[in-house]
Amino acid sequence: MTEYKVDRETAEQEFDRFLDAMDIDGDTAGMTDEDRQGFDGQKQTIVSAIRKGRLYINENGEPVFTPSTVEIDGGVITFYEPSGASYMAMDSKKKGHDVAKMYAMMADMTKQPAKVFAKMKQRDLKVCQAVAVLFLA
Amino acid sequence: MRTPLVRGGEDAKHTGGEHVRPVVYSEMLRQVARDYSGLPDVRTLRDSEIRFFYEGLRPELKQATKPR
Repeated sequence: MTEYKVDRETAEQEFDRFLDAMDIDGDTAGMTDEDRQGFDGQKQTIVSAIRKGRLYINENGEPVFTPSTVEIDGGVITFYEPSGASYMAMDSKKKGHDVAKMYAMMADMTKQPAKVFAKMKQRDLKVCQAVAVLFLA
Repeated sequence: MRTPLVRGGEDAKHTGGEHVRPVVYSEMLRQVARDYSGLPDVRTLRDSEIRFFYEGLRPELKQATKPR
């Protein structure tokens, strides 16, 4: 039985606060069915992580995630706003190399080396990827 | 992506699913880097800063891109 530390309504409000702070469009009305399905999946992953206490949104609207399958300095991974360097790093990846772009963006946004994400197990990686994919959309 | 770009004198968004962060913010960053002298290293500018500076250019971009 999964133990939730945060109720769904609060978690969804925090998710909305994150979207607002990071200039991410959460209005699904204008999305294609495929995009809406993808967005709902990412939202569900992030809301679930908030509810389980594994992720919270700090006062700057930045997601702060506590991984359980890798050890990192400070114990948490903060997703800061992307920077000019993020876009330059992504631009250097070839067209179609979306996974490489996402890893480059995650590394820059979190100020963590890319190898941290390469070592992560799926239960941590899917949360980080859900956050990163929203930034790529 | 919420923030529109400027096209043809108006706020505009790419269509066909192309109005995505890497595309939009890369263009805004290039515009800002070109038009503001004295900025710090543009690689260090965060999205909120890129947005702030682009918003400052928005009125004149609309003027400059208005169809004749």
